[in-house]
Amino acid sequence: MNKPKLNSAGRIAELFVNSKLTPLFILACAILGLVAITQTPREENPQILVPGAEIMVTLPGASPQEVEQLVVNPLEGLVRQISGVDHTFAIAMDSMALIQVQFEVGEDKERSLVKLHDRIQGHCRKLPVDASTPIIRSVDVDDVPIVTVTLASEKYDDYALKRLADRMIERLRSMEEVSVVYVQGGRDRELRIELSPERLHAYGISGDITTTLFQTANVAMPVGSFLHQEQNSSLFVDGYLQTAQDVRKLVVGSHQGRPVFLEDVAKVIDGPPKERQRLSRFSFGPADANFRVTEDPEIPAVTLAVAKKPGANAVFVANDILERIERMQASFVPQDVHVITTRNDGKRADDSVNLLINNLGIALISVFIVALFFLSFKEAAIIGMCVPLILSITLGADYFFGVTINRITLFALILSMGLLVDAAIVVVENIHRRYKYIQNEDKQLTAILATNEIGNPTNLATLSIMLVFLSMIILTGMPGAYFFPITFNVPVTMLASLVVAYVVTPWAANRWMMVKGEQDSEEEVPREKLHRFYHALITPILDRPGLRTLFFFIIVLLIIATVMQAAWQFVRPQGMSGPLTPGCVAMGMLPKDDKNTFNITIDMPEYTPVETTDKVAREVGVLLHKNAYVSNYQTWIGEAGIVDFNGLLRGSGNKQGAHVAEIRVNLMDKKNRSISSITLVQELRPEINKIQARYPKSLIQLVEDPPGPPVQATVLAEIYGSDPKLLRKLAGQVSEAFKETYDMVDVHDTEVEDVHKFNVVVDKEKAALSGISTIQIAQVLRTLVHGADLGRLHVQGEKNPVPIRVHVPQRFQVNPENLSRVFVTNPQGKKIPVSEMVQLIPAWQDRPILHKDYERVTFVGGELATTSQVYAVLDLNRRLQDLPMENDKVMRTGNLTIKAQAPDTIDGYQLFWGGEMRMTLDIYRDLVVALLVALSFIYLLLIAYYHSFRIPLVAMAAIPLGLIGVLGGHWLMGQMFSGPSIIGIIALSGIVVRNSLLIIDFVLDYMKKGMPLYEAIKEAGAVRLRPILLTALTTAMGSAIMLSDPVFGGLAVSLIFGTISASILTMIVIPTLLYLLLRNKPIPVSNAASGEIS
Amino acid sequence: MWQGKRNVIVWPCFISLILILSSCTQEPDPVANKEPTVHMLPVSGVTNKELPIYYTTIGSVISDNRIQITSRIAAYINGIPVREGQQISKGDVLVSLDSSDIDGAIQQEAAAVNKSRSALKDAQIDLERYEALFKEKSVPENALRKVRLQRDISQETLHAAQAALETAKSQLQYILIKSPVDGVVVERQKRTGDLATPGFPIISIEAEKALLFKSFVPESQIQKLVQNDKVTVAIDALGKILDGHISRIVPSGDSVTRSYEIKISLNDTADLLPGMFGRVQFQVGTETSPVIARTAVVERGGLRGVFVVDAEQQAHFRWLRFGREWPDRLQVQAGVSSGEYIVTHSGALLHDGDFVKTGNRNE
Repeated sequence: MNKPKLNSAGRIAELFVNSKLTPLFILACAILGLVAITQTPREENPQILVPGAEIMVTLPGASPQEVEQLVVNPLEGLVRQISGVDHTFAIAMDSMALIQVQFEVGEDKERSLVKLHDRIQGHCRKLPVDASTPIIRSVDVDDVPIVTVTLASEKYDDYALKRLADRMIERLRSMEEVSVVYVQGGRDRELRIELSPERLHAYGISGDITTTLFQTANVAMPVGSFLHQEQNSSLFVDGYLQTAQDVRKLVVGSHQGRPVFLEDVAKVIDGPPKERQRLSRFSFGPADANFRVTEDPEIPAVTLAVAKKPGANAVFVANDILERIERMQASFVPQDVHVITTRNDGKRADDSVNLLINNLGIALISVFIVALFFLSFKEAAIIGMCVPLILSITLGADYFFGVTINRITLFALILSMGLLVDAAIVVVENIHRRYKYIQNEDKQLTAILATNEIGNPTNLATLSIMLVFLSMIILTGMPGAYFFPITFNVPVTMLASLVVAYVVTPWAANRWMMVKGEQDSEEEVPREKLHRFYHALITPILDRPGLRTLFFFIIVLLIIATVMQAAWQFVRPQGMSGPLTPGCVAMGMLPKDDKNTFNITIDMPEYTPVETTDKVAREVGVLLHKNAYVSNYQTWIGEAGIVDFNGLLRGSGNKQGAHVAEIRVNLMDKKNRSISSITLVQELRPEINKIQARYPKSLIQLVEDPPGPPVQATVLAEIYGSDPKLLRKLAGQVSEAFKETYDMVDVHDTEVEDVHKFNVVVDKEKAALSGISTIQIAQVLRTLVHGADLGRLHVQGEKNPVPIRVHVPQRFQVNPENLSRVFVTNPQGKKIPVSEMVQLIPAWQDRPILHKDYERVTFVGGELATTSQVYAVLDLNRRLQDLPMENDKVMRTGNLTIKAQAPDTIDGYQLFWGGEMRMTLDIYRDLVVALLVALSFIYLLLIAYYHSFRIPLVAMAAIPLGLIGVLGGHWLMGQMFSGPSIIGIIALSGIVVRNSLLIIDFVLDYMKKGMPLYEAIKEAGAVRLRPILLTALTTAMGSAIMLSDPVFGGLAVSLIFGTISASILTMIVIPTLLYLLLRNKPIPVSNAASGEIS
Repeated sequence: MWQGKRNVIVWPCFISLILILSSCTQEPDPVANKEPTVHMLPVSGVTNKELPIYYTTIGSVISDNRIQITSRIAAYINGIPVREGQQISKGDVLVSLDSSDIDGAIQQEAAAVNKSRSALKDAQIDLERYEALFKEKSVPENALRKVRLQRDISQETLHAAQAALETAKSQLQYILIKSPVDGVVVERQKRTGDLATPGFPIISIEAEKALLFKSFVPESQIQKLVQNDKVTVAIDALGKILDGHISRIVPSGDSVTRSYEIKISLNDTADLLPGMFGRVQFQVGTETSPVIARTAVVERGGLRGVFVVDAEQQAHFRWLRFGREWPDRLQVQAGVSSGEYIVTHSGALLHDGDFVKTGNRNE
């Protein structure tokens, strides 16, 4: 046997087939894999880097309009000059402006912030003189806590718990990889001075006297040094207030020649605040062993939150934190304090990663079993050995290139499971085939030649799949970052699979595989059966044009029918909105995932007192208490809970005020749960709606963690326009339209409720006659109505500053009606009632003005309970299109375009669809472009390979055949057609092209050997049937484990059903097409076969 | 045909593997539901009450009848036998002054009287002798007339001296200053040994009976007040709320403080002492809000609230915002509304989620 010129595959095989390096390579791969899998940082979802910042400027007393014109507009203009800024959101409020800057995904965090600082600092002179210096705060994903631990107790109140938690976090700060550590909830010690306005009046003490009093009384400072007995000593004035008694004995004035002490006009109390605006409670649910351990279901709680440094391994950090907390619990946490881990992203990441690694193992076993059917045990074992090696190389690449191990990474691995074995299978199968027929040739050379034989088509096929996935690099924005692990891992895996197939497989085959020779006929039987079956199938189609036409007609009909499965909803007569027509497939972006937690946010009208908000939260709590799957929940009244990634990007994480509440519900682990969190939330929603109905204008939302990148709302209408009044009216109309939409829940808008206010207008003349200035009145009123911080108590050993706070307790509450009880003292010492110098004008609080990207805007948002948002948006768009407004104007809708539009309100009002719709459009656009780019690349590659324009077209004709299976499969599995489904199609196109390539290659090969076209096609099809079915089955079995995953089910469905349908149909369609194409032409000489031996 | 055999082994393995994997999910254990406790507790409905809105100002009790005791004479004070706050009756000695000046004057006048009396006696004898001599025509009528004149002058001199003596004696009554009314000593301006001079008070007394309450009302509120309006005055020191009415509105305001003085007559002045601090409440309107009994209020988890009983007779804790507070009841500003039922005597044993049984649901 002479040795031909080898191609790259052959050369690699030759180098390694008997080398000592090969076992070392295997060992190195295995070690690399082990190191990578233990050391690579794990996450649940890939971290999306969205640099963001918040700029805050105060302009005391300015109305929102003023703030908008003088602060927001100039700042927004400045910010928009910076490159890399994606969006700006601004709110102009009473006396304050808040501008959120969102940089483009993937921008460098530090550089973006430096640019922002630089721009703002350089130009802040443009702001009004009385405006404060802009405060720039970065909104950082890395500051989102990965572990939260709640301390709850029936015996200790949240004041005691807070003190305990403060001591605990000190012990966590010393950890190396911990970044932000804080305690949320609980009360801090304060020294409270409860003023009695009447006593002040009786003693003739003005309400504002206390401010200056504390500034002058609470003083300590070094005042120099002196020489004393030949030694320098220093002098120190010690006037700090250290105890409540010191404060009580402060002299605030005199009355009838007698000093008046502070304790005469006020109660001085050292302790936690009594009148509260925020609080937190914790409760065990029925799924927890501690359920009903506490007498009261909801007990006071505080929460420790710990974030990790960027790049740290969440799993390790979380374990270290919890280990420390456990030791602290053993050493100094009292028995009656429950210590509950309420969030553990480390464990969550670890669980989902481990689950997926298990799945990966199962996929591996499935592939092995499939291989067993078609090949011998040893061959299957070789394939089984190759897979972990390939995965090890991929994980090693992840480790070195800083890609974390997360769900998407592992999905990429599972996805490539079906693909990566192909190279190995093809090599092994070919060696197997060649070994079977060799009698006395060199075993080693045969292996090299077998590898060499399939080298070119395998290289081509693998390259095309790599190209396909690399084309996903053009995915932009958050989805791009989210799916990046797929873009990275699949090509790496494919490359690794090629290397392993050429390095390890021939080596292993040479070492272990038996030379069977002709006498082994057992394998022939099924192959002959398949052979005969294929001949029986293909012959009539090739021979009878009528049947052929019918066959193609059916195929085209099937393709149209499956496309209609997805398209019918858009064109059906009863409109897009409404339940899915049976037999159809819904389209969307990402389906929801089964999570172990969800959030309930309560937004009451802005004027709601905290007690009412608390009442609603407790009613929700009662509901949760009845749910057998709830393991615990924590209620936050007056503020949002511990921020999570979703909350951070939705902007709900920094809500506060008496009218907001949040309940974080933790469910029992999904492994032990029979229903998904999605169903659970769905079942809970009607009950929640009943509560919501009892409180008009309230909004109780059930917020599930989104499966993909978070958005402000699933369905989001951004209404741009210039007149806030009209915007408000439009928001109302749009909200109504939202509510009439099928399956729409949690409809909310950003229009706040009107809140009463009283303008205190000082009669300047009267005040001047009495010798009183406006600032005096303002100060007195502020002290008495709002209270004031007067400094701090100087106490040793306190972890937090102890503020000295003066206020008027609620039972003496100062109302606009009783201003005559509030006195101001004039320079002559006379007491003048404030009511005599002011006029009270009832009014409405100024409404905040919202901006997005420099335009005034108002948002209306909604969530969909079960269905995809695409139909809802399109249906709404139809109904809201050209909504008539006053003066014959219309509101135009937009942003349903391929590229995002910029708002433009020059000629009227605009409604832009944002939220998930925008993201869906972006993803679909990018994916379709990716698909097209991939197909173009494949086409070009094939043209180069075949030197023909038509044959590649035949090869690629298989792609639409996959669609039949894809949409049919979605329908069969009840899955939604989503972003991952498209990724599935992209992967699929690679696979089917490879299949058809191998057939075409063999046909051409046989023809070169002299076989007539007709025979060559029949023979090539029959020979390729087995490996094609084998790879199709391995792909299907490898992906089968993903079917149950809500997010990647679509991908699995696409792959499995697409591959099966495409493989089966390819076997008939491609040979037939090839036959039709080539029967009237001379035989093209392909260089594909040129390197082969006969 | 070992591939056929392999099928027999592999397929069941594969299927059982799938079955094992799919059976990983299991139902949660039914939670051992501890039976919630049932309590027998009184329950009552929350009702809205009409609460008067008061305008409150502060002031103090004054006496309408304040007497400042001044000496008529200038004299050193010998002693003040009363102290501040001492109850006194009419006629009680308040101040005794030094009487030595007056005593001397009396002796002087008495001597003058004696002298005049002796002179008169002498003039009388002279007159009797001259009358006898005139009858004997031994003295001229002119001489007799002169002697008679002399006697008349002496007589008048005696009267004058006597009157002067009476005057001197009358000074004595100013030495002991007595109380003109029943009342109380409110102030001692001078001490023993001080010189009491006319026009400068030594002590002040107030007549107990006419006590008034004086306060200042800003001009914005003055229009709402009419003479004889019923008002209540809370006296902190007594812990009592007294009824009264506006007796006078002084029609002259202070231009700086923009307030007017008003005086209130109180119906019951027992135990009341002048100068006591108090608040006067004028009702200027009404408001409606729920009022609950203080006994219903419990504290849970650092929050003050009540237990509300729902339709299933289950008690749920409700955090409340209280407004005005009275000894036995509280005004609720937020958290509970009229028509809901609350547990009026909760006790420490009642917990959220417990059941409350009651026979009577009183409104």
